[in-house]
Amino acid sequence: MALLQVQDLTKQFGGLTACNRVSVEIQAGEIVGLIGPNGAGKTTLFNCIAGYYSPEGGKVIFEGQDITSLPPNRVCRLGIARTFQVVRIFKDMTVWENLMVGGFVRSLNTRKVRQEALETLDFTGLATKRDMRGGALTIADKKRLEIARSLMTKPRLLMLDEAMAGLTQTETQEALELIHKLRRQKITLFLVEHVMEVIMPISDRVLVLEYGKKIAEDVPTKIIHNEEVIKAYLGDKYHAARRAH
Amino acid sequence: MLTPEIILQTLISGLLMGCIYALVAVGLCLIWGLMEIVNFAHGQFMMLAMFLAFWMYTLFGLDPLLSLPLGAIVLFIIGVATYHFIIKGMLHTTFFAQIFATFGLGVFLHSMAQFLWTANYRSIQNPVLSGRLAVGNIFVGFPQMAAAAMCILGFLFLYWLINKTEIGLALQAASEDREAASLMGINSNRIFALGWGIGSACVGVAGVLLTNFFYIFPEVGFTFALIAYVAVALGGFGSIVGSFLAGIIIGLVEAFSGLLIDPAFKYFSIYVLYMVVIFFRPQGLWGRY
Amino acid sequence: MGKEERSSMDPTKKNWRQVLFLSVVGIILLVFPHIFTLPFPQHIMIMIFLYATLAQAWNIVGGYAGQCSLGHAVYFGCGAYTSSLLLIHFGLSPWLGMLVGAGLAVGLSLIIGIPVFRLAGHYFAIATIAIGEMCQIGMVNWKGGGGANGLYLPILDEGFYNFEFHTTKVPYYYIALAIAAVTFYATHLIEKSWIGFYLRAIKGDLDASRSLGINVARYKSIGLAISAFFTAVAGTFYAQYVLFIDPESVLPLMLSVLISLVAILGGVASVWGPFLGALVLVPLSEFTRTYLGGGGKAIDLMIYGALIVIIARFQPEGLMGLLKKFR
Repeated sequence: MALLQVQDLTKQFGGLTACNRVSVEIQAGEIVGLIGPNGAGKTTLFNCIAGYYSPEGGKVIFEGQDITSLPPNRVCRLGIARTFQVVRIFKDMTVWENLMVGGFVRSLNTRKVRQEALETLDFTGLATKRDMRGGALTIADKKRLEIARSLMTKPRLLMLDEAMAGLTQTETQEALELIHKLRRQKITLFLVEHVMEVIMPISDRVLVLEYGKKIAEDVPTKIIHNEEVIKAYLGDKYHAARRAH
Repeated sequence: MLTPEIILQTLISGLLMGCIYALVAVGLCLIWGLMEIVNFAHGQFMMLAMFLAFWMYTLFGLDPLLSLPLGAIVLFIIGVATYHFIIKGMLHTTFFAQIFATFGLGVFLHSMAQFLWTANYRSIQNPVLSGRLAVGNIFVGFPQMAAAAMCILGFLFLYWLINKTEIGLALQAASEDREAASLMGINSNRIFALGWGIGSACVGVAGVLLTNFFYIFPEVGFTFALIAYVAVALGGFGSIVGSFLAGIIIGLVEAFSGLLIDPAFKYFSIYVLYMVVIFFRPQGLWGRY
Repeated sequence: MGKEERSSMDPTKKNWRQVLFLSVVGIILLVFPHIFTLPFPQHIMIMIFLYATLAQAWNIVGGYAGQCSLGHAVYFGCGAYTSSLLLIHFGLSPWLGMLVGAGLAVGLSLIIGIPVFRLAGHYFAIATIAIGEMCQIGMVNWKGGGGANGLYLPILDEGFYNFEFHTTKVPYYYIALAIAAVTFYATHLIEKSWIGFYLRAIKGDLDASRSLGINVARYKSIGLAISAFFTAVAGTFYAQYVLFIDPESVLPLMLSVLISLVAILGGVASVWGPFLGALVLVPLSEFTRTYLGGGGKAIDLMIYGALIVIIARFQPEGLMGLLKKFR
């Protein structure tokens, strides 16, 4: 049984169809990438899965349970965590306090959660910064903090929305290392990314959305040669120019 | 004993008063729409305008009609000064601080008025606009009618200003996206100050018009302010048309609940209406969130 | 960061400095009425404890959770009126009345929360003001509750059971101190527990909170309920202290504003902030009222108003923020 099944998910905003009968299955232990031009509906898909939006059609099934109409906090409880495209850490709380917030969904015991926070701080490399105010961190560390915080909820599926956006080469490398560590922890990952050099090497499979529709789903090596995908990103003229060769 | 005449009378009173509430609300909405700051001293600004008209009349014999431009200008200056000295340095603080800054100003102005002029009720005895118009058994106060007419004119002028002039477009742009607006060469400080000025001038005009038929006392600002907040929240923050219409609705609700229930519960009904609306539509009737 | 440095994350082991400080403060407060035996200074301290309690209660939902309620007087009035009416009509002991009043206030807060927590920021503040006004209008017009004339509490033999003391203020002092101490301790416990973290998360970012499993509506309600409880307890105390209540004294907007002002002046989201705020504002108000004569009523409000503006403009973190800068 697949960990996550999205069936014919449709989300509309007024006249705009942001997600058009999108279907995807994610198996436990996979890393699945989600790419597509801006406005393709990637974050909307995340929001529907995580419970922030109610889809107009379709279903989301997690570990066999229909979670389509559940609110975000229930979805988290069931084992799905997500980060945000524009990072949303608690600016006025310290790093460790941010983590504590995430931990209480699994246990209300402050001592236990504090112990777990210490471990997660070490795991994610934030131990030296634990007393820093969230708002004072660099963008790379803020993203790292957001991941660490969501790890405290002990997710089985972690959805990362553009975790590499705005990072330098070094920072991107460090973030990739963290993602590899997550995989070794048997956390299933669903990643939205724009940076191709990042997402192609680590993903088992890649989904491509355009104008709300899934236009391709395959292993990375085949995706980069997929005509539809190239056309989506580079436009008709390039496609025509390539054809002409 | 609800004759059609009584109903019509109430309807007209409600509409006329509603126009005044409407202008007060529109002034508040302008400032809010511009920078997401609610001016909790708005009512006290109106009270100041009323006292201005009163003292102009008492000391210089100046009729409120003539004080109208004076009220608009003085309040414009007060609005700009408030922005410059208080708000400008607070654009990036928490909304707590913003709420309290203007609230504190309101408390200060209210008690200052009480200190300077005592809490006594004053009135303007013989304004130019006085008397009433009789149509059959319906009596319509002349000052109320004139006030309402001028409020409507004021609103139409404001609507034109916001939607059809460059200044208005600049105001709209700055309220949508401050950074983008500044990249377009719009000096956000000046625009914000202008917004505060115009919003305060509105309430200045409404205040002076009120002195033709309303008592003048330090507390008066408070009641009108609360109605203004409710009107803007009811109409939807960010929509001046919504605020105007909501003001009129409130005038009607006030008049009819005074007639049908108990005058003591006039304001109660307004608040109930407000709570019911925001329960079903938190962003107000015409609000854009 | 060396291992020698203490992290704010380490569990609070009471270091000797904190224990000493608390002990000194505690001793001073306990012996105060025996050193200053005149009623006036004792009254000032009682008012300080009262406002500290109110501000601390407000702090839970206003400071920690960031829900700026400007209608908290409703719960104060609920406590005061409930215990007083039960005393007048049924002879119920004010202590039991206090619990009933606090319970009713919690219920009231849950009802109020339903429409009001759909709003945020300025909208929320205005809604709480509107509700406060509705309650005041309601009480003014409810003859059964005394209406505009208010309620005079029956003068009973003085004693702890009756919660009335006529010859001396000292017992009131200790009761007020106890109520304040309990409220403070409760806030301290909340701050360290998951509730405190969740409230601060709600203030920080709603969507992020939801993504971490927080039922935002539920915790806003919990914060408000706890806040309402302690506010109502203070209301009953006030009724028993002054032995007269009316809508003007226990339900006005000005009271709601003052409560939040004390909390904000002191420094929101801190355990000691409300106490600092009360320590500064109460004597200030008494001073201006006593020494500035007839026009005094307006002048002390003028000072409040100016003070609010200055704090908001220049020191929004309040006195605690100021102290932190000097650490």
